[in-house]
Amino acid sequence: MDTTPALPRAPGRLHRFANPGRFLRLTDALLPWLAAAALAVLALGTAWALLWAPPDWQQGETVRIMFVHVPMAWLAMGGYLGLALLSVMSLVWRHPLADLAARELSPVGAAVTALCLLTGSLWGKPMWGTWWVWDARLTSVLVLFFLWLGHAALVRAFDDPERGARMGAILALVGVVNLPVVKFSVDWWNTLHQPASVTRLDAPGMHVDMLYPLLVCSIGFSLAFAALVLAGTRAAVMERQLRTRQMAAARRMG
Amino acid sequence: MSVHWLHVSLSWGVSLAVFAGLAWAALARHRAAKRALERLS
Repeated sequence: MDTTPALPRAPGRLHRFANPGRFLRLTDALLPWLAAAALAVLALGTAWALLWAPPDWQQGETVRIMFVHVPMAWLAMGGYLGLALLSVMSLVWRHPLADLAARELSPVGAAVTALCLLTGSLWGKPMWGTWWVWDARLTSVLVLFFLWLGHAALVRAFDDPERGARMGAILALVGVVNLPVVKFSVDWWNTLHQPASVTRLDAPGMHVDMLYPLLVCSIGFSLAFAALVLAGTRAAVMERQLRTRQMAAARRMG
Repeated sequence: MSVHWLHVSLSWGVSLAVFAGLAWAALARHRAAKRALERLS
């Protein structure tokens, strides 16, 4: 009698992509287009942000840091939400690709969060007169950075990759509680960091001359982020296939 | 070049360099896995 506990069925569309061969074929066609689109949009966004966008009447040229800092902040939070979704897929449906994608996502997420902190610091020094303050926004983003690093380390810390993936998924889901803290920290507490100026319920508090290049840069960095995670996941799938074939060859020879 | 431009250049330079480095690493890893798979088959 089969005593294996029955797993909830994954929705049909998701289950189709659990097939590594299908995933490799699909990404083989998609990845070059995604990378080319990321390069083109990023080139346009970089030129717009550094050459054509006007300087701010108060901040002067320093405002150009915003065009890289804000996309990094959005990617740090949006990427973490993606990690949480992958963790649900991993824990509920034991989706093998979700484990691999989460494993590949966390180093890239940690990198963009580090860039968010670094560019924020480089923006803060000339504007606030300090590199760092322990206010709620900056501190909660630092916690987010440690969550990314913790996930990246945890999933690689076990000899059994499935156990590592489960532990990482639990950590990622616990860490989701930090996302609203990051987002609403500027409203809940008195912070040196300014309140939201684009993602507000009413109209964005920014002139279109700055809003449009910001959106283009955000799309460019998001496409690049997606391409990096997809390329990493693709490499991880191929490495897993390689290990399986090597083990099969070793068994045949032994 | 003013200090403001130095901060702007550092922000953009480091960010683009990190993205380029991650892309290069992913590409190198992908090529190595592909070559190894082709050798085995």
